[in-house]
Formats: sequence, structure tokens, C-alpha cells
Amino acid sequence: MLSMLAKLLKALNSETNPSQISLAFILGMILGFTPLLSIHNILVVFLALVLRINLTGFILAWGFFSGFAYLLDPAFIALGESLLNNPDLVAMWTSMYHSDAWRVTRFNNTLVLGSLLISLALALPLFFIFNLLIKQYRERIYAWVQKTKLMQVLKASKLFHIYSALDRGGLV
Amino acid sequence: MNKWIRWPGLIAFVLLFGTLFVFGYFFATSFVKNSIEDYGSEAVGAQVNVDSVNLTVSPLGMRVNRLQVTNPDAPMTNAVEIQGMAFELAFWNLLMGQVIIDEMSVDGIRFNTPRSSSGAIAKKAEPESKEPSLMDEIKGELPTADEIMARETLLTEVRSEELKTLYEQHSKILDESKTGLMDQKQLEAYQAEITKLTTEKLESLEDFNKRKERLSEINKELKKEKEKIAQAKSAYSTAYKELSEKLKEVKSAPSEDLANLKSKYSLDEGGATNITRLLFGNEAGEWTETGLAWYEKAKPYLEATQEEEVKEVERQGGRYIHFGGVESLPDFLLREARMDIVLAAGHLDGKLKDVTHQPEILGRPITLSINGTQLKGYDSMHLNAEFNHIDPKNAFDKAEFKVKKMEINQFKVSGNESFKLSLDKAKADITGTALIKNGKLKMKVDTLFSEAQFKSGATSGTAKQIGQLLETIHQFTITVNAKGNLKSLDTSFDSSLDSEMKKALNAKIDAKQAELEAQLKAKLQAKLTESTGSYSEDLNATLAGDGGLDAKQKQLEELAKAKLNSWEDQQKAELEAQKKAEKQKAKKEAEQKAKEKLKSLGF
Repeated sequence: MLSMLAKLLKALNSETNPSQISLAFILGMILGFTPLLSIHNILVVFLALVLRINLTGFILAWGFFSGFAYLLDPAFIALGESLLNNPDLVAMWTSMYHSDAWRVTRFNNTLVLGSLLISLALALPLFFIFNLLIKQYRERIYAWVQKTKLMQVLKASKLFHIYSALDRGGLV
Repeated sequence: MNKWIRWPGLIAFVLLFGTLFVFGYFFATSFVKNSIEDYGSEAVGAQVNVDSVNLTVSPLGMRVNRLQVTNPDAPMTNAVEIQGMAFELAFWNLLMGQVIIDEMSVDGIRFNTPRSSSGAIAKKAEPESKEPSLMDEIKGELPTADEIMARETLLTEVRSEELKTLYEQHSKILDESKTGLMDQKQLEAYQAEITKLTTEKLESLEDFNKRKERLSEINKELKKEKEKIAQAKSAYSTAYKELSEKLKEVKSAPSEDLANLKSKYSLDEGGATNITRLLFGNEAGEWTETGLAWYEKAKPYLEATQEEEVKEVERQGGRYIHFGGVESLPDFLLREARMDIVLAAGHLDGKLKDVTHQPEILGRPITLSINGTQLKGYDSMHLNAEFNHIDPKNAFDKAEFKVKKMEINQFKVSGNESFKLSLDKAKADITGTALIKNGKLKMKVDTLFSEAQFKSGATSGTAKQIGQLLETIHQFTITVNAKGNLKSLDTSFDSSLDSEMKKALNAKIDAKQAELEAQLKAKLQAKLTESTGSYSEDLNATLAGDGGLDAKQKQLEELAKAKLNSWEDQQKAELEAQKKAEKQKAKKEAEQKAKEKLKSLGF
């Protein structure tokens, strides 16, 4: 876990394109928010592996958003319920329901639909927000953080040693 | 492009899912085999074994080879052995997390096959019932008074035991409440002290105060004693009430027992059915018990899904909303299983439909039908059953069966030495219905026996008479009714044999019954005496009085009335006595003077 955090810090502090880190966070969020054994998550894992994104960021985001999902589940379910029961959409759901391929996606499950739609809705704005935050971090916070007492303490910590070791070994 | 695409990632993806697939393919068979064996063994309470499991990919399916389900009561025998089961899984549904089997073929179902090794599994030893069966007890004659007494749970015994326990409880309480009460000597000592304190002359004010203080102490002690006596009296009163009531029940028990036994064993009216019960009851009882035991094992899997206890924190699952036009499917569904059941009589065809643990989603009950024709020793055999748990509140299971012309050969009705009876030959038409709802069974089985040939080996007594009579009967019916809780069924037997018997044996029965009644009466009385004999005197003594508590209480009340005159009162009394004495003295002196004066005047 510490080495993963160190890798993430390394990526944040490196010249890695912020979009690659942001996209990793977004894919991790989709995987974390939606039920794991859903067919769309095969696509998410495929994209995470095939696209040149930061895998450490993806895994950490998955873990973080999985935990967060426990709190958001009622909201996901409520959204799924309201959409699936919306009379204006019933015709569409029914035609999708008649297709085996659509049913395999488990779209008619309130949690799957609610969590996936919320994840997708959040994906784009969060992508830009993460991008912005990473840039801001690198431009302003990184330099300031380096000077803080906390960073001095951290530099003496195990995490920093791992980070340094990885950095020296070119592992990150 | 290459800035955003990581080609090795594609290889990693293929490797990841390829590994999962290969792992699944190779381990699915052992997973299925172990699951069947582990869950099966746990459910049955004895080993369930599978020889092997084969997986086919296209079409996706499975074959389970030789499934053996051990009979938990006979570990060297399989209750069921299935040669093979083959089925295909719906691939799309599997992707949706549903195991849907459209058709399954189950071949070579055999019952009671021998095992090569014991199929017992370690389990907690359950105490075996030592109650003798009716057939074990039947002897050449009808049951004797001793046999009946031994067989039946008698109210006389039960109530006597209850009385004994109650008496022991109350004896203990009474003994405890009497412990520490003053005895007569102590009371007399108090009496003497009180008399002394209240009657002897006070010497001084100090003497008065001392006596007053002592008297007050005595009063306090007496008050405490009175409270103790009141408690003891209350205990006596409770004991008297409860023991009297129980004794009344005990005294009435022999007559109630006699009435019960007469109704159950007498051979008049409904009592004659006991002959049928004695002859066929055990067999019917065993079949019913076996059937219900297997039903109990299967029951948890028939019921609609219950909310399971959440053992760890899990994400909420949401719910599936189903839209019209497509069948709602549960997580597991076996649409149809075709079964080939192999009996000694031949093959039966079975069809099991809509097996699921979520019938409320499917909206259809599990159904089972078994049919057999052209069987050796039977004309035909049909069973239809429905396990309907769609609405958990109104769940029920029902079955109806029909067996035509079942040939009976050398059926041993009684193997008892002095009452050998066999049904050498007969044909039976059996129809039955059973309904289980809310844990209660209602079952009726009608059997018509035709071309019957009884053979009796009884050589003397009533048994011989019954045997001879049965040999003349070639057609009879037996109706078995069972109802009530699955674990305590109330069964009744109705048979045309009974009326036949009644006609033939009326006189004998009356005499026998009178004799039996007299014996039972005497034995019940003896049982009562025996049960209450050891403590009856003490019990009578307890009920006769309150152990002298009343007298003691009165004595204490008298003692408590004693009062000490005050010092001032005593002084006043003395002064008044002195004045009175002086007055009398003066009076006497005056009289004396007057007399002397009169004398001097010549009177």
C-alpha cells in the first residue's frame, strides 16, 4: 500500500500527462461505484490495461471509490428506481429488456443502472477537475509542500524511503 | 496514437481473462463435485458421493456420473443412487448471474442400493427411542392388562408423580417455615417470666422500668414469633390448597385412565379398529415416518427465499425490475428434469418441473409427476405432487397417488411366535392424497384389498379365532387418516375388517373386555396405592391440620395481652390501701369507743 502511494506521488510529481492520471481515476471510479461483476466492467478493465494510464492511480481510485460506494448506494438505487419506473422510459426499457445482449448488462438492476449513470455523468467533469487539480498541485502545492514541516517529517518516514528507493531504481 | 495505447496491456488483458477461463474450466468440475458432496451431505446427514463430473464447453453443459445418497439410518445402503445426470446451461443467463437449466436427464434412479463403504458421517448421537412398537408387543392374545399398562402413559402414574413432587416441594417449604418456631417449653418459660414480671410487687421505680423494658423485649420477640407463625400458616394454607387439588386429581386418575384405555382398546364400536392398527399400523407408521423424514430434509429447499442473516457488511444489491414480454427468471432454475426410476417392478418415468429456490420470482410451483405402466406386479402407478411456495404466507405441498392392482405376496403381518399371520396373496388398489400446509399434514390413504388370502399360525385363544376369521375374508378396505403436526401425527385406521371381526367375535369380545376392564381397574388402583403409599401418611397428616400453629398463635396472643402496672399506680394503690386501713382502724376505734360508752351508760 505504501509503495502504491509512493508510486502515485511519483506520478503526480513527474512529467506524466495529467490526463493519464485523471483517466485512471475516472476508470477506477466507474469500477468502484458499480457492482464489480457487471459486464461493463470488463470494458473498464480492458481500457485500463490498453490505454496508457497510470495503473497505480486506477487501482487506488478503485479501492477508494469502492469504499465510497457504500455511502452512495442508496442514491444509486433511488436513481435506478426512478429511471426504471419512469413511465416515459418504460417503452425503451421494455425494448432493451427483450434483447439478450442488453439484459446481460443487467441494466434493469436499480443499483447497476443508477451507479453506472452517476459514474458516467461524473466522469467528464471529474476528468477536467482532476486535470486541473493535478496541474495546480504541480505548479503551486508541490513546491509549497516540499517546504512544509510535515513534508520534512515525511521525508524521514518509511513512505519517503520507499518513494526514494523506487525513484532511484527507476521503478516509478 | 502510441502515446495513448499500451499494446502490452492488450496482452495482459487477454492473459488475465484467458487464465480465468482456463482456471474455471479445469476447476469447475471439482468445484461442482465438491459442492454437491458437501452441501448434499450436510442436508442429508450422511455421505453424498459423486464419481465424477464432466464439463462440456459447446454447448455449455455438465454431466454428473453416479451420484450416491446414503441412507442416514443405514450407512451401508444408498437411499438413492443415480447413474447419471446431464444438463445444459443457458449461456446468456449465466452471464447475467443466473443458472438456468432448460432440460436435465436423470438416468437410472435406484433406491436402497448397497454401498461398498459406509456412508456415515460423524454426528451427534441421538437417543434412540426405546418404545416398543405395537407389533413387537402383540402376542397370541389381545393385549393383556399388563401389556396395556406398560405400553400406555397412565394419568395415574403421571399425576401421582406430580403429587409426589408437589408434596416434596411443600414439605421442604413447611419444614423450613417451622424451623426456628418456639417450642412449648420456650412458650411456657415466657409465660412464667411474664407472670413474674406482672404479678410480683414492684420494689422501686427502677425495678418498674427494668420490668417494663423486659416486657417490651418479650413483646417484640413474641411479635416476631407471631409473624413467623403467620408465614408458616400461609405456607400451610397454600400447601393444603394445592395438595388437596392434586390429590383430587390423583384419585380421579384411575377412572379416567380406565375410560381412556377402554376407548382405545375395547373391542366394541371404534375400538375394533385397533385390530387393524395392531396388524397394519406399524407398516403404515414406518412408511409415513420415512416419507416425512425425507420431506423434512427437502423442505428448506422448497421454501421461498428467506432473508438470510447478513454475516458481513455487503453492498446493497438493488433490485431487478422486470418488464413484460420476457419470463422473470430466478437465480437458479431447472425447467424440466426427466427421470428414469428403476424399481424391481420395472421402470418409472418421472418429470420434475420448475425447480428453484425462488418460486416467488418464477411464479410457478415445483411439480413432480411419476408414472409407471406395464410393471411387474402392478397394473399402474401414478404420483402427482406440487410444491407451491410462490406466496410464502399461503405455501402448501400436496400430492396424490394411485396404485392399481399391486400384487401382494407373502406379506408378513405378524411374525410373533404365538400369533403368526401373513397375507399370502392379495391385490391392492391404493389411492391417497396428502396436503401439508402451515406445518400440518392432512393425509388420507384408501386401500382396497381384493383376492386376499390370510394365513394364520395362531393355535389357541383369541388369536386363533382372529386368524380363522381373517382366513375367511378375501376382500377388505383399510383407510388411514393422518393429520396434525408433522412431528406428532394423529393417525386413525378405519377398516372393513373391524366390522367383520366385531360380528364374529362379539361375545368373546364382551367377556374379554369385561375381564380386561376388571384387571385394569385393579391394576390402576394398585398403581395408585404404590405411587402414593410411601408418603400417604405424611400427606394425610399435612392435610389434616396445620401442625398446632393455631394453638400456638392463640397462646401468643394471650401472652401479648399481659400488662405491667405503673410505679405511680402501685404507689397510689398502696397509699389508698394505707388510708383505707387507717380509716377502718379509726372506724373500729370509734365503734369500740361507742360500745364502751354505751356500756358505761348501762346498755
